[in-house]
Amino acid sequence: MSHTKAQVSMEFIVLISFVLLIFAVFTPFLWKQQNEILSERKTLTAEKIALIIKKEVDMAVMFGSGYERNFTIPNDILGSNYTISIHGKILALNWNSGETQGILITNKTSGTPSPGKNKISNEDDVIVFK
Amino acid sequence: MSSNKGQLFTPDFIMATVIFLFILITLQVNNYAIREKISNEEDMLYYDSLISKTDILVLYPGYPKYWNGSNVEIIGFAEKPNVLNKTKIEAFVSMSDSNIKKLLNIEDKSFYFIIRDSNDNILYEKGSTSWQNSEKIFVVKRNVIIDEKGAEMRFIVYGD
Repeated sequence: MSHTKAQVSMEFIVLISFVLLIFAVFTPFLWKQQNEILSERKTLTAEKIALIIKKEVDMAVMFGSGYERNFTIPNDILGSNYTISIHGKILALNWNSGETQGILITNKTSGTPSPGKNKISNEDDVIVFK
Repeated sequence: MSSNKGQLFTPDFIMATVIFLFILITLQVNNYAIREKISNEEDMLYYDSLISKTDILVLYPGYPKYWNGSNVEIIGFAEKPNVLNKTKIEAFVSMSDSNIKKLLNIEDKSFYFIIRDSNDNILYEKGSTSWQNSEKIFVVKRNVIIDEKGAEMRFIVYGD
């Protein structure tokens, strides 16, 4: 009987080892994959926000001086806080683990949009964010 | 003896292994589906931005208002919404492809621009048509007026 018990124990150890091996192989792979997907989703969300801002700027440029409008962009990117900066024509969105950039139609801008509510206006062909 | 040996490798174990593999496969299929969805959304986003660019071409006169090939900052052809200025289209057609791509922010892709009249005659064209092996192609079609006649403007952007 004890001989039989030992056999089962060996099988059990082999089985546990096998399961642990499978977990050891797959867990980092699955973890990496989930992180990549989350990162891609955050980038996509940031690109959507950048497009909202670009379209608002396009609209303000097309309407001309005197145009004014309120618009809202998300407060976070899938739970991550983010900042927006404009340098010349380059619009950049930064969050803790990434950045996305877009090109604005004009470099004549003043101020920068921020997460949440914003006001955009065209003052003598300069696009102003408040 | 043989029945004792088989205690771990029972139908229960086989079932557990099958369930484990099923979960792994489901996760992979799910991840693949999410990636596909992200890729499709990226394409939709790019198409959306392309529509926005062509809006500017047909709804805005450009900047400066009376621009030419050497001083243009923003390309726009409109005299009135959807009514295009021939001089500006001619200036656009005479610009270099690289300058157009830079101004339209499509430097990572190739483009083909064409305007046909209602009899399908080509009025203006610019860019190249070598999209045969491109992974992605985006086409935006706009109905416009040139010389008080209806025409169709197509802007095609392609690349990998």
